[in-house]
Amino acid sequence: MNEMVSLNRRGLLKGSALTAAMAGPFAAFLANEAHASTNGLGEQTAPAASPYGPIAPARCLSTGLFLLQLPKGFSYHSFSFRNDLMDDGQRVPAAHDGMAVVATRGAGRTVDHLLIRNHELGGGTLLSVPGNDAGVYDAVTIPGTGRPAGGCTVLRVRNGQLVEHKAVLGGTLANCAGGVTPWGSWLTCEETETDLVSAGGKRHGYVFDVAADPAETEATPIPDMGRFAHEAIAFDPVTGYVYETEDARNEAGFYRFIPNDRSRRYGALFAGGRLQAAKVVGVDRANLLALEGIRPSQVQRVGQTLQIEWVDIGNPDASPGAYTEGGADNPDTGTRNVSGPFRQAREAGALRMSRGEGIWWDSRTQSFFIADTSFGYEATGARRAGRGLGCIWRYTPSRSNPDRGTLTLVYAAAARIAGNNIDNVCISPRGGMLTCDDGSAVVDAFGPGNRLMGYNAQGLAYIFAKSNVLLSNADIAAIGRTGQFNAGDYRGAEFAGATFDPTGRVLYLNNYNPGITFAITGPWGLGNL
Amino acid sequence: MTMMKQWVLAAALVAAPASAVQLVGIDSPGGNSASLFDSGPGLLLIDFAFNAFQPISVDLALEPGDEGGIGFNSVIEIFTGVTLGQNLGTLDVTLLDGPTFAIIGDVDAFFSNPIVGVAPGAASFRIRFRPAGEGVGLVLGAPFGAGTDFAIAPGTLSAGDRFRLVLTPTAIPEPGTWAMLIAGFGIVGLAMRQRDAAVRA
Repeated sequence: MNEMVSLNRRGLLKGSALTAAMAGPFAAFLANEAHASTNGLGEQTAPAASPYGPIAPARCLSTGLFLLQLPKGFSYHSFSFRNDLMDDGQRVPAAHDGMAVVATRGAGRTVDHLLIRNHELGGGTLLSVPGNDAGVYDAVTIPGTGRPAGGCTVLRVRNGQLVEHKAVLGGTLANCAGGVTPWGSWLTCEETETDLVSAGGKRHGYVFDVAADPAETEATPIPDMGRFAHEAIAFDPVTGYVYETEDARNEAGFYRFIPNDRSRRYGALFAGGRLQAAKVVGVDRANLLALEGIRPSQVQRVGQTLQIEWVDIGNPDASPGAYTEGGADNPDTGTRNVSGPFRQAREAGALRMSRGEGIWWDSRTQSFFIADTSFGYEATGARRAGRGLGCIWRYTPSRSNPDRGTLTLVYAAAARIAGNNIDNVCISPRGGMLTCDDGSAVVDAFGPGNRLMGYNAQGLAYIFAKSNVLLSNADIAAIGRTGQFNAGDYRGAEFAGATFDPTGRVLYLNNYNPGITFAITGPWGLGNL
Repeated sequence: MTMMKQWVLAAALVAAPASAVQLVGIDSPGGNSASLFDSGPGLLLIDFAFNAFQPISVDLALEPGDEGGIGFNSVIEIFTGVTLGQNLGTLDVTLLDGPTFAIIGDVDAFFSNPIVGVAPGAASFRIRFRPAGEGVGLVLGAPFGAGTDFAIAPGTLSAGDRFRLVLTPTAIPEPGTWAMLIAGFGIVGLAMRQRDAAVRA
């Protein structure tokens, strides 16, 4: 008698990378489902398997060095290193930070991508904007310190390779992250409250609108967007409101700006507007620094949703000052020096985060995804709140009531190997989320090095790429950059400025130190990025 | 799924003046596309965009002025991974109905290191991508100015005669697919041995 041998073909293909969820971030998020890599509160303890497969050192097509660890099939270029000569005669500043593709330009039979990149610098060499003095904000010289060296550069990239780069904003401080505007410019954020008036300079801690054309940029701060340690911003494309994060440990509000002029053109934001801070409905001065447990908190587990309303900030340009907050349920009591907007926000009952970081609009879920880089408890010692490994919130504005919304904790890291101080956030045109780690050089299955993490539909982080920037003097000489930066192990330096081009084929990314910009491409369709 | 052929008539696309290679038609299934630029006498500028692993065929007609040879360059955009999640393994560029490639020009991929296998005088050449896949695109010849264009020799064709240019992408099979193929052979072999054993029993 013949027997039909039936074999389970899928069983033979265990480990195949073909079955990848094509949904966006957290699309099938099941907050209360137990998972092998989460703890009882839903915090992730180990990285999930990557749909792109394991990573390995990959050779850079521009330099021949192995600067990144990437999955099979991915390749990349590198360009605009620190101290490279730019087309305006200046040297590329250091501290490559937040960045985005702000516009594309037809270039004959191909398309150029225009990127604006932040340089998170304090005192040093002033970046000028040749031909446009209005592109420099504060040119004061501080004896022994230098001049405000922060600012922005614009890069034009064609087919993954640099065509030109030049300065587009100077005279600012600590330009951290920012966000793209609907009119194709970049809002850059100063992550400081430094006041240089007494030295003959200006006040800092503002948001600036940076045009893609250096000749058009006006280095005019927008005080109504608040004077505080800004991190990033994101636009709500429906209302034109701008959502803002604050990076000040345990004194971080979550803000939104309602522009007076919503014509969505360069210069519209100079007309000012109204600044508001988020408040948990029914809860005065909510603390969202960690899950409740060791300290009081308004959030008990991953997946919890809070109702949000907005309170006005009467004086967004108020100077920082002392603020005292007490109470048995307050994890950080006593008198602290906080930003003017945060003090007013707190007095009006607004919530606090630990350290607000990246924020990005996701059109699929009609929500913002927000990173708090140190949500959680410190691992040892006093176990203080707001010194953990980070989390991701999702804020969904209500469309029936513009003064309301919901804030859901969609991800939290309980072990550094799963999440290492989440910082910049971006969402690909395909709806996948990518975050940049900003903690110490975590050692995982692929060795030491900071990482880019993707998130599967269940809301679990996986390792997409790692830094492999390890440069000897011979390496630096081989790429013709002797004297531009020191040899060293830079694998612990953060990634920043992750951003996709509008087609989703190229991922641009910065290495903060020594300062390198990458263009990465590959089989994105194998996963959800 | 059946890919419908899409023959596009020349009228909507021809932008070339007289005395230049004339576009007769394009067959670009699966969402693929081809665009002819303002080619002059003896010059063919045509760009391709792939959205599927389907060949793009372009029918062209020689015009007076082309008989001495036709310079050729192209920008090819590859949407690998967006719709199919597979790596582009090879791209074949083929001339049909008589012409040959008299000069093999530059082949530059934006994000990979392709190798080109052909000798001048052949009617077809293959581009193999290393590492596997080219996520963004490549250029044949010198569409941006610098480099060496391809040259097409018309052979025995004369003005008014038609020829076809075909670009055929193929994917590298996924490891899972290879495993399935190998396992499939193994299943067949096992079934045959079991059947033989049952027959002998």
